[in-house]
Amino acid sequence: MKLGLFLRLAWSNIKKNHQLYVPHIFAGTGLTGVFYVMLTLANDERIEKIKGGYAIPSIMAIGCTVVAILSVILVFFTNSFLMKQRTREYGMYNVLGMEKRHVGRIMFLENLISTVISLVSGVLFGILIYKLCCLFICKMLHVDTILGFYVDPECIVKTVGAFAVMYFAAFLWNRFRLARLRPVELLASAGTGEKEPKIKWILLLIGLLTLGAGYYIALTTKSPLKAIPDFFKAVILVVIGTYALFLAGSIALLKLLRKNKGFYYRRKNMIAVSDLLYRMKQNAIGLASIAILATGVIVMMSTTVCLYTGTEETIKKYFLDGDTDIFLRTFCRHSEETEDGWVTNSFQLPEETIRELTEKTVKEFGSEVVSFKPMRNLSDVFHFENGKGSIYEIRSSFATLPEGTVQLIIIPLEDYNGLTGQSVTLADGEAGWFALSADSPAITKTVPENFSIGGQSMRIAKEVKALSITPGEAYTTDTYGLIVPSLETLEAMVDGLDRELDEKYQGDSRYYLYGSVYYTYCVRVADAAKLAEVDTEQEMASTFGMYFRDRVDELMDNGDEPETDENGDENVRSYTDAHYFWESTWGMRYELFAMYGSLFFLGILLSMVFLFATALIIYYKQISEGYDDRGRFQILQKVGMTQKETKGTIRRQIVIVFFLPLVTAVIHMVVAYPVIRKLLMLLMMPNDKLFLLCTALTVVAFAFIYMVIYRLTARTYYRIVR
Amino acid sequence: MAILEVSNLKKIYTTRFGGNKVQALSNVTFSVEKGEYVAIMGESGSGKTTLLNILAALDRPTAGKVMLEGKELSGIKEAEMATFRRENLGFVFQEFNLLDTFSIRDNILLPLVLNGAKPAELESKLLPIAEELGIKDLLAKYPYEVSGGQKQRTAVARALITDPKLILADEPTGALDSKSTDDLLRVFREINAKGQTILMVTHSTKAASHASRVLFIRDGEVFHQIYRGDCTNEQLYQKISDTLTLLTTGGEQR
Repeated sequence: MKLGLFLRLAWSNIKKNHQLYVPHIFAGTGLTGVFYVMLTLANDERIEKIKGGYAIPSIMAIGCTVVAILSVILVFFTNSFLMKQRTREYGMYNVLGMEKRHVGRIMFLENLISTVISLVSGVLFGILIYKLCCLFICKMLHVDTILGFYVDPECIVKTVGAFAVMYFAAFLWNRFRLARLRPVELLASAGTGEKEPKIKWILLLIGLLTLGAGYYIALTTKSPLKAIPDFFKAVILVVIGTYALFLAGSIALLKLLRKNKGFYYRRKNMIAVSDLLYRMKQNAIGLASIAILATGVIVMMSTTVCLYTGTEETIKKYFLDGDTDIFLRTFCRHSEETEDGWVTNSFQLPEETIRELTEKTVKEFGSEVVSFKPMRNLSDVFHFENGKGSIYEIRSSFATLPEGTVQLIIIPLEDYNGLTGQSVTLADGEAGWFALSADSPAITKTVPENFSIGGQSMRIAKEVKALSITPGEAYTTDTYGLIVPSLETLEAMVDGLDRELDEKYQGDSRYYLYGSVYYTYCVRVADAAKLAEVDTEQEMASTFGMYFRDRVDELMDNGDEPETDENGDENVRSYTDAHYFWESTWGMRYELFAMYGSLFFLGILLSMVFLFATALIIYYKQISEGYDDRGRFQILQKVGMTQKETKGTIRRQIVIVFFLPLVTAVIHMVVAYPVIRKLLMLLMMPNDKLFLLCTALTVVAFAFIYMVIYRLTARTYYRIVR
Repeated sequence: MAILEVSNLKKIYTTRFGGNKVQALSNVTFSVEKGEYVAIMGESGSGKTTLLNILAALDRPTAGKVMLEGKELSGIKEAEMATFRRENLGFVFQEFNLLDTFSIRDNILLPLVLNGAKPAELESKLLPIAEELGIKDLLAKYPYEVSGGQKQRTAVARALITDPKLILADEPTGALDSKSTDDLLRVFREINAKGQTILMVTHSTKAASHASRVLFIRDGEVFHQIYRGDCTNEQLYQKISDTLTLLTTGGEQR
């Protein structure tokens, strides 16, 4: 019976405070739902089986983590806000004769009710939108739709468990605060005069330094390979800087303005400046959070939209600007036991053979080879010292490249002319060059005019028309194509480099790098669109592989019987590996759409969550300010301001407070733009204009949504103030 | 010369849905001379606050008129009303109505700034008033840092700084302890002695006993008035007290 009374009290409290509880429960529902969706996507086997979908679970797992972190922050934020607004009410219960444990029980029941509603509706919401998300993903990945309703009980249990723990922790925190308050304080806590904010010089200094350092890193990153570690460093610094400056910088600025008597004692400024001072003190954290969330949304959306919409273009550029449909590379390794131990040698099948096998494969799938051009090359990162270029060994993919390193794709003249249709000539010992990224300086910045690679002395003679190649591995340092007079020169370079490595590592075969030039062939087929349809399962590649291996075996056997030892076992004294790489435009399309599509999806989902968080923070800010402003509003009118004037001043302040995070986010984005552009180059996204467009559109769209959120919440605000 | 003339003032409140009508003021007529210090007394619900709100131009009468220095309040447009009030009236409230985001200095200066005064003239106006009211040392402090009496003196300074024709005080001693009350009443006497016209609404006999004339309101009408004449504060106090007794025991109007 007593429990019944408490339950009724708790329920009526929630209803009475619906203005506070509805958004709180909405937030819980949304976060639980999104978390459930991401968790299920990460575990749904049907998703993993989508062509190219192998990347989705790990991408969604990242999303899960982000949502979880954000949830913890938001749950505590809304919770402490609720607590602050209701302290007086709890104090009243205490004064009216309830013991703290009774108040605590009511508090617990209130929490329980709102938590249960949030979790149940959240999971239901999640299950409902899961289907929608699957449809959306399939659409974006250009694959057939997954049908059927899917519920994963394990994910439900995990989601509910995680959020229940979060809410319970928040309740304990409130209970702890309740226990420490005395009744008088409980009653008075809403009416105490705020202390005048002080300038926190140390925090201000920290803010200036971190933001400055973050911006400096973002703006000065030259090497795109450095962009990844630099980007994260800059992000952390800028986040710290934003919080510190919102907290300390805003107050310092306003206080300076107040010191300036000529500025401060003016009709328009006086009330605005001193009110803003208090607003910033109360809302700095919330506003800084909005600025960070807004930046996050803009960065996520602009990059993922850009990658997704630019997929076709990325593919086109990768395949020699659409000049080829298939890249094919083959090589063989023959290992033989000699008196000195095992010796491995690389060799190539003749071009005609590869061509013949390719034609056979393509014909089998119902098309024909139109052109078959070699693009033999050597591609690596080089470091030059005293004119001598040596291979720069990259130990980890995120390592920092020192100054003076450069990525070179070295191509013999005959292949270059064949691919471009030009008739460039080079004398012996001369090299031509072209830059592969638009903003690279002339090659002579890093490569000396007279240089040698693998013992071949060369002179940089001329710049030639660029060929659209994307290096196999996108180390996005400055990248150049280098044209050497003949295939022989290139072979000699490779031999020379091998010898250098051999000497360096005393023949340790683990460091055996080349042995051969890359024999890449560019194949153009008659009907790529048709092949894309026929070859959805990437069978062409394995068909070619089969023919290729058979041919290599035929060649190597030479009709010899394998030797046998006295036990009759085959005595293996030699073996041959046949390696091939086959990349088709359509194969790449599946892969990229799967990757960029799921990134795009994650971007959208997270952006929605971020926007939601932003809306929530703004809403609560408006409510709490509304109650504070009501008193001020009335006094100002009594002292002799018209209602219109008063409303005008307050609106002006709110607009300033409202636009501050948006402006901050845009500034952050402008500064981050060059780094992000370099990061996109790592992901083979070459189109600057597209990225600029995506960024601009995202900013505009975000500003619009933000405005709508503001409008909606401002209505609540004016209702309170009036 | 009468600075304020109130004639046949009537105010009827109609409840929201037009049902009940409440007559707050039935027929109020009186005038205040320049330099006078008038107290208006009456019980709760007698119409004091309604009267003050109409005098302050915060509310409009149902009938009758209010003239301030020969200018009729109801003839002033809504848009000019705030400016008119700022320039002609000074207000002192029971609950001080100071802005807690402003220092004492800024609270006092607010009406001047709203009037568009130049920053240079602010200080020259502020200092004499602050000195007179004994809050010169508090100027940099904030309302939550000073006592109730000091807050009210700040409010008086704020009312005085625009050199208003009339100061309207609504229960100015209502939230003060006895010492602060004495202080404030002395302040009122001093500024009145310098020629400031004051109209104070109160139900404190003590506060009223400092005035030069006391008006009694009952049931929305001026019921009685007492001139100080040559009375001391104590004698006036006694007179007021007697009148109040008469009022509550139900004497007839004379």
